[in-house]
Amino acid sequence: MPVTEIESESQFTELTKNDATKLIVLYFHTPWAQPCQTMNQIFKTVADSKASDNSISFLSINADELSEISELFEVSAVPYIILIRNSVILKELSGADPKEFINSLNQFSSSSSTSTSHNGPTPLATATATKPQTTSQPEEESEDAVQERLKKLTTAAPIMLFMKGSPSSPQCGFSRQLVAILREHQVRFGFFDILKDDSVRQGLKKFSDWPTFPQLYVNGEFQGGLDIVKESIEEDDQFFEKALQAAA
Amino acid sequence: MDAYEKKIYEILKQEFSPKNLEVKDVSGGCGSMFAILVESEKFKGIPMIKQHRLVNEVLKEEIAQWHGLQLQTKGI
Repeated sequence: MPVTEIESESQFTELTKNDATKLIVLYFHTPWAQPCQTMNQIFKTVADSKASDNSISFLSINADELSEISELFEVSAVPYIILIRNSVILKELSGADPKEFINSLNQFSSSSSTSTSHNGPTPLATATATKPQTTSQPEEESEDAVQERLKKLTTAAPIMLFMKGSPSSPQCGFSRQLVAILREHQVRFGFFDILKDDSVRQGLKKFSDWPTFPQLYVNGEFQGGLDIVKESIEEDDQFFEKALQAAA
Repeated sequence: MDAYEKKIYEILKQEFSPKNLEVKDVSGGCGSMFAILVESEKFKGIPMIKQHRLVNEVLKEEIAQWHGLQLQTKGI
């Protein structure tokens, strides 16, 4: 079947509940995220190519509008693809990698096999982004506790970058650019993926009194976002070295 | 400029009486990502981060709804 755009939660429930052998491919997207534009096309093309295969269902979900469903699957970045069969998550793909998507699809779609016995594949929720080097977040956190944690996080390394995604897989153009600048100047830095931790994401905005990400800290002191770091380095090639010495 | 861009433009114009001011919606008209340039005397002599903070403060409510912001400021 070609792509079905989900319009409501009830439709989603309807389309995902019944068939235990069907491979369901969920594609989460938003209109404003750049990588989604590319992925939209790819998803559609792949779905169309498998149109004759009734064992695969391609569902497209606007993550903003159907936020309940996004939350249910803990989708924190788009584009995001989840492959499910028999209510079991087989694979999760974060970001826009057509090759990976197609490989996973082929891996899990079994148009030839007739599986009457459900051995039930083991739940494989593989997150592709690398885990940030921090402690796991507690259930309920008081404001003070968050501020304490942020103080520790911002000083976790001499240079700390709070970004969307990870340096190997940035989920935002600005974050990607800032990583590139740091690498270009061969700066050693620690990073934290704010998409993986909402209390840090919101708390840090208050902590630095700065509304956006990425955010760069040197020796625990907020330096600025992409624009400022870019300007600073243009004005002074030794920006990072000096900042490290200054705050030490 | 569309209506929303104009709104942002006016807010900044009033606050900073800039010599140069540009407000552009770079989210394809979605009102979620902006590229802004403000060159004003009010920025003279203060560090860039402080300049940016001033703009952030003035546009606080709007920025809270945006996905991203490219900001360039200069004291002239």
